[in-house]
Amino acid sequence: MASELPGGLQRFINGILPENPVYRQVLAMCPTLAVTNTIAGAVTMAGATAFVLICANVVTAALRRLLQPHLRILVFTVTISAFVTIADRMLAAFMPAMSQKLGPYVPLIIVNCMIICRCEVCASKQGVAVAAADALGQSLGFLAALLSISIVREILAFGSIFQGWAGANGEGLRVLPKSFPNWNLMALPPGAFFTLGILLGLANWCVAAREKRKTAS
Amino acid sequence: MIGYVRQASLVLILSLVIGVTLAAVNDKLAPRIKANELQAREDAALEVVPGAAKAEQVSLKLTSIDSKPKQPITSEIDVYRVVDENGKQVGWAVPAQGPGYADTIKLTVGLTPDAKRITDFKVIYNQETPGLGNKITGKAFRSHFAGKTTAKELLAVKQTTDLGEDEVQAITGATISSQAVCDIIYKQLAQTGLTEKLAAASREGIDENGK
Repeated sequence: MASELPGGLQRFINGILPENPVYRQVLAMCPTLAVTNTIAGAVTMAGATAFVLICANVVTAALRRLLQPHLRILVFTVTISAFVTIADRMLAAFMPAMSQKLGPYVPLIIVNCMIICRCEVCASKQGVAVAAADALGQSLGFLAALLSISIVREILAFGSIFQGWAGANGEGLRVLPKSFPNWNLMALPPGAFFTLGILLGLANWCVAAREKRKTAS
Repeated sequence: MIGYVRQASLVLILSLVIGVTLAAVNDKLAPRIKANELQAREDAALEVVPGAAKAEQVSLKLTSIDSKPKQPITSEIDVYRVVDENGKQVGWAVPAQGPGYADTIKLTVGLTPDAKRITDFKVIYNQETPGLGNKITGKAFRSHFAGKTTAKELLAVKQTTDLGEDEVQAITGATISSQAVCDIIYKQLAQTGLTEKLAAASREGIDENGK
């Protein structure tokens, strides 16, 4: 049965674009919508999620032969919540400002479907190495998705990029002329929906166009 | 029965291991997290009083009357006595918190030594609307509070000139957040009798040092 499942490299590549958690699987919508109004917030969230996903996938893969089918979800959840708690405490200790900015969204990684989905689809069936490659690929895909949304939102909302990381007083690097008024809506939830909708549509359109070309040739 | 335990054994062992791990992580990081919070409050104390060089934490006992069962309530509050390089007191930094437009707003308020005037304030925590309400953290809004009275209820008003000592200019599009900051400051200072306490503590401090 294991031979039918994709190998480590395939899993890794799949996670980045062909099975991108946000654009192709439409999972993990809560952090995608909530923390993408600045690049700094989006990258921190992607980092914390990557830590949890990689650790949870590796532990689940290591324990996969001991899993009872009807208790597996419980094992996934316990493992995930343990690593989320560690990530949350680490952020509070070493990045207090960011920890406060992300607020409840760090503990909410526990209910991020993308992680439990990877445990179920890959880690509970395949070895540690494949599970780690899979987690890495999915994490990169998630980072790419959050980054693309947050770049659009931060530029349109504040006219700058890397707020909190670069420039005087952490104001970020100005990319739009000063005459561009701050488009507050983009920093608010509606801006998240608009941006996600347009980018999601664009991603699907690209995939559809490519498949059309494939069948035509 | 034994069958159930065997089935659950992985979950039980895993929970135990995770419990111990989390306890160890917390043990290692808790002092650092606590220090971060204290540091943030001390930094804020130095920022909100002009001419500050050092902030010392002081505990004050407050007695307020609760309205429902008419009983005096004593509570303790940690404030910062802010001094300049020569050790002369230049003001107070007082924590205050209350409801904002979204979630609680936590502030550190800077006061003159006699606690009659506000010098500045700093937002420690807020979840106000990005781009509108969270402008309460900005220099422009903060600057309106310098020199305002602590004796009267503060009002966030729309006019930009001829502001009274109890009026500050509200942020456009964020009237509720602006007024929330005013209310939080006024409630903390006036209703608990904190200003009198601070003024008295300042006088005592001067007597003790013989200055």
